[in-house]
Order: sequence, then C-alpha cells, then structure tokens
Amino acid sequence: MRKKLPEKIQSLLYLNTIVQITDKDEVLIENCKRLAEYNDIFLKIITNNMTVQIWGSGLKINNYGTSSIIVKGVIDSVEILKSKNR
Amino acid sequence: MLAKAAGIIKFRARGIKLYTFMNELRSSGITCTSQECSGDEYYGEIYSFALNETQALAKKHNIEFAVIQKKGFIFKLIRYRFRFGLPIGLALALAFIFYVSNIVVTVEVTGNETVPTSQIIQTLEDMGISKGAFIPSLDFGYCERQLKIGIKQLSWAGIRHTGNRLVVDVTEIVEKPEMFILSPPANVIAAKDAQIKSATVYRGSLERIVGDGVKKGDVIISGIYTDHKENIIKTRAYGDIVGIYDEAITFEQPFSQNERIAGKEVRRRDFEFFSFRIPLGFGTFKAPDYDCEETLRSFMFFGRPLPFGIIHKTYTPYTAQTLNFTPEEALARLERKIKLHEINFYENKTVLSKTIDKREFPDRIEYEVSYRIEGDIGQVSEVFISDGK
Repeated sequence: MRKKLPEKIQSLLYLNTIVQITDKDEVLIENCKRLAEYNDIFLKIITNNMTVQIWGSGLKINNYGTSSIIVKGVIDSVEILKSKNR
Repeated sequence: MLAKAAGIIKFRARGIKLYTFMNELRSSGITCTSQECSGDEYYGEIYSFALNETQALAKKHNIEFAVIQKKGFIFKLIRYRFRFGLPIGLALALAFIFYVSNIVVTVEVTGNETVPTSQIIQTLEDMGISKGAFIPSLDFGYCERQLKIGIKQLSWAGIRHTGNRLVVDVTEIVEKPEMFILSPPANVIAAKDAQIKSATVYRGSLERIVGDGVKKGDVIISGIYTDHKENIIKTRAYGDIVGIYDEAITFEQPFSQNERIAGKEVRRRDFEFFSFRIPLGFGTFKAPDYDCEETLRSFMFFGRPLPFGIIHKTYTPYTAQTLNFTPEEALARLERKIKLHEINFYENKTVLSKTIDKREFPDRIEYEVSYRIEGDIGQVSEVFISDGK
C-alpha cells in the first residue's frame, strides 16, 4: 500500500519515467533527474525511480529545455536498473 | 525557425565538474543539441541568445568554455553591420520604388475622336492630374465630373489607374445631325453685273435670255414658276450661267517696306524628369520676337516610354527690317503680286482682256488692273416660303 501510493501519485502527476526507443537510432527518456556518466559509447541517466544505461556508439544527446533527453546514435542496448537512492 | 535564424553556437567545454555543468545546463532549460562527450571534452550546440547564460554556468563550475563555431545568417549579417551604405541604399531603393509606384508616369486618353487629346490632358493638368502627381491624393470622382463640365463635347468620363499609368476613358456626345430640307426652293441669281454669254438650265425657269445684261442679284433662273396648267411649281433651280463681266483691282508696292526677317536658328536641349525641366548647357535664349518649336524624345525601356527624356527646342529669331527697293525691284514685286492673283482667282475663268493703268508716287507704285472676264456668274439663292401655319 505504501509503495503503491507514491507510484500512484507519480502517475497522476505524470512524473513517471518514460523510455521510448525508436528503431536502434533514438531513445527518448522523460523525467530525467541527472546525467551520471556520458561518453560516446556509454550513457547513464538517473531518473526519479530508476537508472537507465544505454550502450552503443556515436551517442549524442539533445535536450530541449525540458526534463527529457533524446539520445541519438547507434543503440546497442538499453538497461533499466532499479534506483538504489530515491 | 526563428530560433535558428538567431544563430547556433557550437561550444567545447572542459573541466572537472563536467557532469555537474551538463546537468545544470539541462535543468536550466537551455536547449542544447548534438551533445558529444569524448574523453574530458564535451561538445554541444546552443542558440546564440543562450550563450551568456551558458558561459555563466561554465564559469560557475570552473569549466573551460570555448566557442568553436558560429552558424546562422545572423552572424553573416553582423560582418556588415558597419556598412551603412547597404541599408541606406536599400531604403533609397525602396523609397524610389514606392515613389514611382504611386505617382502618375503616363496619362493615356482613350475613346476621343473629335476632342483633341491635348485638350483633355490640359484640362486634367488644370485639375492637378499630370505627370508626377501623387495618385492617392487624387479625387478621381471629382476630376471626372470636372472633366465633363470643362469639355462640353464629352458625355461621360472615367478615370482609373493601373499602377502608375493613368487611363482616361471618355465618350463623346453624339451630335444631333443637321436637319435640312434636301431641296429647298432656290433661284439662281447673278453674282456680278455681267452680260449673259450662255445659259444651261437643268431645273427651273430661265428668266433672262442670252445677251441680256444683268445686275448683281437679278434672278436668272427662277425656282418658282407656273406651269402650263397654272400650277405653282417650287423647286431648287439649277443651271450653268456664263457671263462676261469687268473687274478692276488696284495693286500697290511701296518703295520702303517693313518685313520680318528670320535669323539663324538656335537649338537648345532640356532634360525633362517627370514634369521638371533641367536645362542642358549654358546660356539662355533671349530675343524680342521668335518662334519656338519643341519635340520631346522620351527614353525607352523595352519599347515603353519612360517619364523622362530630352526636349529639343529650336528657336527662330525674327528681326524687323526695313527693306528699300529700287523702282525696278518694286516693279518686279508688283508684277509678281498680279500674277499670283490671276493664278488664284482666274484659273477657271477666261481673261478676255487686261489693261493696266500705272501710277507712280514718291513712296510707291500703283497698278490699277482692269480685267474683262468670262466665267460662271450664277449663284444659288434660297427662297424662304411661309407654309401658311
């Protein structure tokens, strides 16, 4: 019950983490908190409730002044890890 | 698109707190695209209006920030920001285009047949419609009414403009045709005192016979006569009456005569720009008596005349000169006058005899020439008859 309520509130306020993968060129991640690590083959993003790791090559980031990030490049894998720290 | 027009700046950032800088860049709402991170260098592209804010963030986190490329039309324009001639020239060109588009360059008149175009154009100029007039300030409705009032032969006038070309459409009044009786009764009367040599009657009644002497105004062929049944006939008399008559004319030639002598022609040129005239050349022409002839040669642009050109003026000065003739010269001039008179007036007649009475005076010579002429003496004279109403 306790776990579900914050999740419900998050859902109502549209604060969920959304990961949208388009082909193997683009990944859109919404509601990011911060960028933990970044280079042209690896990207680690920390969101409200999880950590998203992207492996690939030629990775480039576009952000448009919102809390979302668009990652472009050759995407090899997208890993979603539970966040240890909320 | 507007943001792209503002310009895009590619930067490079280096430093220890690079990730902090990247996160703060993202959370501050600055749009940053094409981000790359290789080693300890971070590249990205931002809009030019976000440069100051980004540099402040970099400074805050001790990040070495460098602009490596500037893209966009605005940066190309900035290079010419001190070229004042460009905007001034552009403004002048636009002003000229606006001016030429809103002033009258040509005036065309259509629909006139008997009323001269120059008369219509002159009337329009009196109302302020001429080359160079500002079109928005013209009241076409008022001018149309004034044009119809000013020129009585017009029944309708319409003024419109297509760009800077003013077109005046007019319709002329159709005049009532002259109504007259085709054949009103008329007599043939004597135009001179003469003796009738021959008479050919085509219509009417001959009142005189060949050989009769007639005075000026006497009826020779009558248009009103009574037929054998006592009916009164009214017709238009018609016939050829040839008579012999005398005519005396006095010709004189003074020994001293004032004449207007033409001098050497002087040519001048003016440059006409719309309705302004700028003299080309130096000096003005002055003479108390002269004739001036002007022709305008407009500049052409693909076959269409432009509102400026060269006016060619030819001045012919005249001087009053007193000519003195010797008696022989005066005589020659007198004889020339007599000959001209005979050519002009007696070409279709026969001069039976000619006598010349010479008279000489201190200041002139006079010839009194008496002619005996055989020619047409008939003249149609209408008879006005009351119809009794």
